[in-house]
Amino acid sequence: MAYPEIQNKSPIENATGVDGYALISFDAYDSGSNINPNSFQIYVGGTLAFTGPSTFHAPFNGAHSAITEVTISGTDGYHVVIESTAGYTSNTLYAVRVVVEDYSHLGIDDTWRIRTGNRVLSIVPSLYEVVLDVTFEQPFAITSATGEPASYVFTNGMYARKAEILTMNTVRLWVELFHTHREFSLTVSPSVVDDYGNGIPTSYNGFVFSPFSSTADLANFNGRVRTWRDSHLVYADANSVYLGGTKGIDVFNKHEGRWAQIYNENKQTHSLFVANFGGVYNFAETGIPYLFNVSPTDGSIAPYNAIILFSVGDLRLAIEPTALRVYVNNILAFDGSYGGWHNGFSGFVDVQYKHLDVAIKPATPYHAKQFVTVRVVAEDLIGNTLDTHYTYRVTSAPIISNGWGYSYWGATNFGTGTI
Amino acid sequence: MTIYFLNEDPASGETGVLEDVTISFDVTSTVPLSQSSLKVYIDGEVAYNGSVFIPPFNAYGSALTDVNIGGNDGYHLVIDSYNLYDNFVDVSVEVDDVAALHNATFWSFLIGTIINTVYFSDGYGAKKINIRDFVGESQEVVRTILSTSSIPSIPYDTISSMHGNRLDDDNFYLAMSYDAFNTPDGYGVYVAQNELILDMYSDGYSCYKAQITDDGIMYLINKDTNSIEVYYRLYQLFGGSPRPPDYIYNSTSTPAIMAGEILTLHVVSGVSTRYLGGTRLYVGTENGLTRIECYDRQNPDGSRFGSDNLGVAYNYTISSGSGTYKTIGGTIPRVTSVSSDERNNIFMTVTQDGAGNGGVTQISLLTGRKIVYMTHESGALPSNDIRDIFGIGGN
Repeated sequence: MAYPEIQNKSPIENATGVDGYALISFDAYDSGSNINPNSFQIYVGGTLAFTGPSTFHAPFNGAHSAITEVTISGTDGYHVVIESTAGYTSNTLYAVRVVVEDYSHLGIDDTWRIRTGNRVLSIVPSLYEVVLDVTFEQPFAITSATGEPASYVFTNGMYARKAEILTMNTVRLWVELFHTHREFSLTVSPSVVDDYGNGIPTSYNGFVFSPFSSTADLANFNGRVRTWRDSHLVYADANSVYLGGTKGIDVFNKHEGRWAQIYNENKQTHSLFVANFGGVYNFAETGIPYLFNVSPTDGSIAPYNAIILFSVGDLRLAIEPTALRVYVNNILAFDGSYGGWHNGFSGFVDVQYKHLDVAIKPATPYHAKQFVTVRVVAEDLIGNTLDTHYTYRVTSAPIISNGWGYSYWGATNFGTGTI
Repeated sequence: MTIYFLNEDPASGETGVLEDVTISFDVTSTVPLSQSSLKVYIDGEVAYNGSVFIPPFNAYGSALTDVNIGGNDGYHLVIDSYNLYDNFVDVSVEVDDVAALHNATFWSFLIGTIINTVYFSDGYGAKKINIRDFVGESQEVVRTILSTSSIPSIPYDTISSMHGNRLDDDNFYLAMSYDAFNTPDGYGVYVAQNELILDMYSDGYSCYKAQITDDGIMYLINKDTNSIEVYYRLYQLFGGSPRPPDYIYNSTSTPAIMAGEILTLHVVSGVSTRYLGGTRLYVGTENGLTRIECYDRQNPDGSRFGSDNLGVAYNYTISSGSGTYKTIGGTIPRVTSVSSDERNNIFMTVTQDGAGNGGVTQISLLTGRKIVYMTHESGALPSNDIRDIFGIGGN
């Protein structure tokens, strides 16, 4: 007496990164009495996909769906392939359940689970289409490939010049575009993997964004400056170059070869004149960026699980995420110019007008009474640099009902226990 | 019934004004004024709307008080702003009296002594942004200095080209050309003094690329007559327009511009080889380039001496010829943009056919020969679709 067995499961049990149109297959056999094909009932994701002996229910009746007789280790059995014409939802756990009996009415009810892979959820151009924020449905693992522009391949001539990791789900691509195609697709390299170690499966890759809302052609010059290729006016003074075009005016610092500013309002520049009389400003300010909205504040005592929050701004210019580095207790937490988050830190860097809002969460909470020193290094657009630090101390955190609490100097405060 | 504007402080045309200045003036009338009709604009922004001061012009010093000057009742306004600093400040005021008599005034002054401003037109008037204020993707520091609805007003909000100079009277003159390519024909060139007071030239014609020399001579392309017009004494005669051009260069003048449609003009002050301190003109045409070494001698009062015909013209085209003809690169003769570096011994031209084909020619003035011709095919340029060129020496 033997029970039916299920073997050669594909995808295998607990598979991750499964493609949205993956074929599900397995072999069923019985070393005692033969499998009774009339008894088959196969469910995928709780939906009946197949009823023996030969009925594949839509949408599991794709061209590859089939049941065939096979011999496995000298025993007759069946090989079943299920193809869904509707595909599977990304980042979803699917249960594949097989119910079958042999002719002796000995049965098996076997279930295994597979998880479909990650995908690009959205691509959002910035207001002036210089950068694209690519958001994945699920977090990706931070590897060198994630911050590598070559990992992101576009159609129709667009290419990524720089990649910044903004959050665990979002990467910002500085793109260049040399043609006026209005539809593009993005294919992410298999080297960019999710937390399960899987690249984006084929069917979830090739995100199409169309129509691209911009009429801007972006051009690249030595990798450090950017402008619109359709600029039709050029002017220069001793320090700067000004380009006027259909998107406004770009200004470049000649000496540093660095993009300085972009202005845009009505998306057309008919005429342009730069008046320099009596002296030339080279973005006259020398003020360095400054911190504000700091929490926990310098010298304070904070819960062990406090999120490190601050904003870094500049009175006259802007700060790009690429010009921000943050260290926590001398460990690099964020480097906007290389890979974004490091050493298990996570959080967000939100670009605001003239400032960045930053939230940092360490990989593990700090110990009670530990000092936490946050060092912030930030440059504004013309290179004025802030390099400052502040320190707070983690309090002890006795567990109490309804959350974590802590007490110091006779006072008692209660946190919610959430981050 | 008369409305008076008095005691403007800082005064019109005043320079060296401190950044923390407060702006004040009086407005009075022989009949009562309508306070609600009193509007004050500073750099195109509403500063007082008839009842309150609008941020950022509502600093602690801003106030409206009643006055009586010479027996006439009115208001004394003080405007204290949080954000006035180096560059021109344009003030315009309008008010009605209770009998609906309307009056307006405007003036401008310069905080500090230097001008570092980008002027541009985006189809919605003449605008400016102080260079120090350039901020990524920001628009809040842009000011509209002139538009069809400003006081004073310009005839059309799309300006084809702009060029300015600060002349010996220490005022800044901004020439705004109206080209029929972008605007309805017939607006000529408007010149704003210190961003406000307007004078017009070649009214009724389509004009392009008006430029003002350091000596206050204005050159412009009159596209309708296919000529270069010259106006002397721009500031001495400011406000005296309309007046005819003092001299005209065309294909039959002496010196003559090569035949064909005039496409562009580049003016360099003080480098003429024919007259010390004279002007050099680069005139791009559909057939090539004419360089004119001007004899633009002036009388002590700045008026024309009458010797422009002593200038000399040199022509450059794609055909290598004899005499004064020099070679420019490529196969397209149209010169759509010209520039030169500050040493004035090299100039560059852009040839364009209007379909994205062209290249950049660099020519030595010393030898009269082409130094280099740059194209995408030569590897020097990312594209042959070149729209404009600007040369400046050093750095």
